[in-house]
Amino acid sequence: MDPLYREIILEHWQNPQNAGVIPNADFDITETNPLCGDEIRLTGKIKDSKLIEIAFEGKGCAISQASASLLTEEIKGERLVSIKRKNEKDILELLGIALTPARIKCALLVLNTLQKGIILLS
Amino acid sequence: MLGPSGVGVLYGKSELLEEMDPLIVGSHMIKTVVKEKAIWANLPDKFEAGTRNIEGVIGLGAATDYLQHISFSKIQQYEKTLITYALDMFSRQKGVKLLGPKDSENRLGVFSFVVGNVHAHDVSEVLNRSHIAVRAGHHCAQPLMECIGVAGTVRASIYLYNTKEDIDALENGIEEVRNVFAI
Repeated sequence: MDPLYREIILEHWQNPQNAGVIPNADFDITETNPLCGDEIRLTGKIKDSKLIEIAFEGKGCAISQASASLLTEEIKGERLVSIKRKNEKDILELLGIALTPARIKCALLVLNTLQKGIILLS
Repeated sequence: MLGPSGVGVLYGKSELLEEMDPLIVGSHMIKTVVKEKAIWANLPDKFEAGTRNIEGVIGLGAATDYLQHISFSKIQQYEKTLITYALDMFSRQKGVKLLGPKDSENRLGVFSFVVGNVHAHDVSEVLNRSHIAVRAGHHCAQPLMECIGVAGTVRASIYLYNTKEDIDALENGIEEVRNVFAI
């Protein structure tokens, strides 16, 4: 098995979960990673301080796409305060791989964008 | 140039260089300074403010001597054989899109390519593991990438120190990319 491109990464890269755009979303935020040109747009709906719907679209490497797919699956229904507390460690646990500094930014783009979207909302 | 980084050459017509004011001021670049103005030193001192990048300039001189010793025509000739070999390799790759001309007459030994739907950074990650050094991404040319319709490309370039074995290694590396991403 490949040490980086594990089955779970490739699976989410080929079949991303929560891909798309939610109409009439409560937040709609687009961010880029200027180092590699990755781009992500997140749209989501919030109810009772919880994230009830989330979708992403964008372009990027397998790591960034798998990370977006896995994280959006993980946090659906979660309270905003707990989403704000998430960090690099949580993402790496979700991906189950070790990343070099250059690739950590790929994995973190979705979380950073989501947290920014939530902060801008409040 | 095979020289050290941080050194370059400003090449221009002396009458135009005489007309120009320096971008940076510092020691060794003036003749006279009075309260109202400064009179710049003669060329090239005018453009060489402060302590020179001594080791850089000496290194660039050595690199230039080295290249001239080999001769540019020999380098060009050798590169051409490698370019032809590489183009032949690329023409055999299924699902690999090579940008630019496909014949060695009208191109340099810089090969920008895309492997299937795999992102350039994923391709370079796998290639780098096999010690194949490539650059990946939009190469500071985002509008061009948009025009071509790709997120980015992988770029391999050859020079006088490369061999046919290096291109064979690249071929194997591309095969490995196909294996990892099952394409």
